[in-house]
Amino acid sequence: MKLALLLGLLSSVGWSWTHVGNNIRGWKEQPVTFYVNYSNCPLSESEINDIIDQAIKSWNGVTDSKLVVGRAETSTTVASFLNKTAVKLPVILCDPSFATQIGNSVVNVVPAATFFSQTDNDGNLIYSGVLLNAQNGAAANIANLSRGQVELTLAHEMGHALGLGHSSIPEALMYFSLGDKQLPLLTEDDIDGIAHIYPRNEFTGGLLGCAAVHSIASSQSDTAITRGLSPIVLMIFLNWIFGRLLFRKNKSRTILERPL
Amino acid sequence: MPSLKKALLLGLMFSSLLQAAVKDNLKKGFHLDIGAIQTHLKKRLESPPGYENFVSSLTGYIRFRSSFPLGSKWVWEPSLGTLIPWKSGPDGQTKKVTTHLDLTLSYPLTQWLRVRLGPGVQWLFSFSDGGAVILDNGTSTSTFYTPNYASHSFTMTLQSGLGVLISSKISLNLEIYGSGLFDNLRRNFDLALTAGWRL
Repeated sequence: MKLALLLGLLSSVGWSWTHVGNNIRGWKEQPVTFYVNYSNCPLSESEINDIIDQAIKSWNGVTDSKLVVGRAETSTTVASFLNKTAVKLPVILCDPSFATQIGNSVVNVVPAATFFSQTDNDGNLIYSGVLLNAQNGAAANIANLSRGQVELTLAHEMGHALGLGHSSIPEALMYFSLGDKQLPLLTEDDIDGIAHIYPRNEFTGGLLGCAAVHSIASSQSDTAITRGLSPIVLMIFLNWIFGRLLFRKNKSRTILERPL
Repeated sequence: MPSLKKALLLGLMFSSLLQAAVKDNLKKGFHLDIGAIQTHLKKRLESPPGYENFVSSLTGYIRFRSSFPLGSKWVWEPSLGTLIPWKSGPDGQTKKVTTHLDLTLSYPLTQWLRVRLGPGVQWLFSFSDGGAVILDNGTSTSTFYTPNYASHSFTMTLQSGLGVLISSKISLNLEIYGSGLFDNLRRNFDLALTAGWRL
């Protein structure tokens, strides 16, 4: 009973993040590039870029995750995205007919939405994108929101496009409501959620380079492995050298026998 | 003057006892360290007021540490520790276990104070039974899912800290775990404070 209680105490911490779909594994290729079309956007290209970059910064700052997010430009339109003919994914598009997609009743309260979180047979995301509310006259048109609210909105929707669902923690970025939040700040709940979908493994390829070739996906992983392994290998080596040298030198007089 | 003599004598006795204690505490053996760890220090310092406890958490920490003297000064102290969940998420549907494996060397700064430095690995293991969760989406509700697979994340850490040897059995340890040190965005620090018992 005591042992079970101890094991229970040691075993776990619970969190409340979710996935957008069942058995989601995230985008297979890294980095995940969001393709942006600036047409129909009520904000300037540079404003949109700054906002996206702020959101990207949030998602790229998770230590336990391998996720790397970037952005590029695309000519994909809302129509082609909704017809599922877009090739470069995920996308970020400004939708002047946003009410058509989400309904007239909510166009004044929803500033953005993520569509089509589709997966392949392995659970990897293959089709997803963010539509920003650019509907003329809508209260939730992104032009009517503060800069911080648009950053938050976009970071939240990018979270969906990356595979995360909602969280039940009001302070979390993935909570359904912006609330009083002013920054696209990732809480531990968001961090744990994204680290689950995109876990970082600095051992990929095996310690000391064994069996490394087949599993290294990119030069980025290669760099991460080299960076990650070099200090530990070096320290083990130094530990061994120190041990050998010092132990030999003081073989007959261990620490217990030597005056301090 | 007698009081000075008394103080000197007491000091000498204390010093001798401390020397003996330090010797014993550094012998080859095993230690149990129990304390707390504050995660995501950098994020905590940068977070807006009211969000500190959501970007960072104070969690229990338990660790088994061994000590292998390498000559007269250096001690190799490999250790294995895990975070104890003093705090749980509101729903608790998804679980996580965080474990640290460290290969640390310690060196004496004074007779009772040791500095520690070494590499380590943080293993983050999260899992859930899977299942659907209905959550608010702002206008109505949507169905989301908890994962039906386990995930493992391995991150290299660099651990540094101080160990204060209090007696032959007890020590106090303050350590900082750094990870993602080469990446400005991913850089993270956790701070651990533990009391150690020699087993």
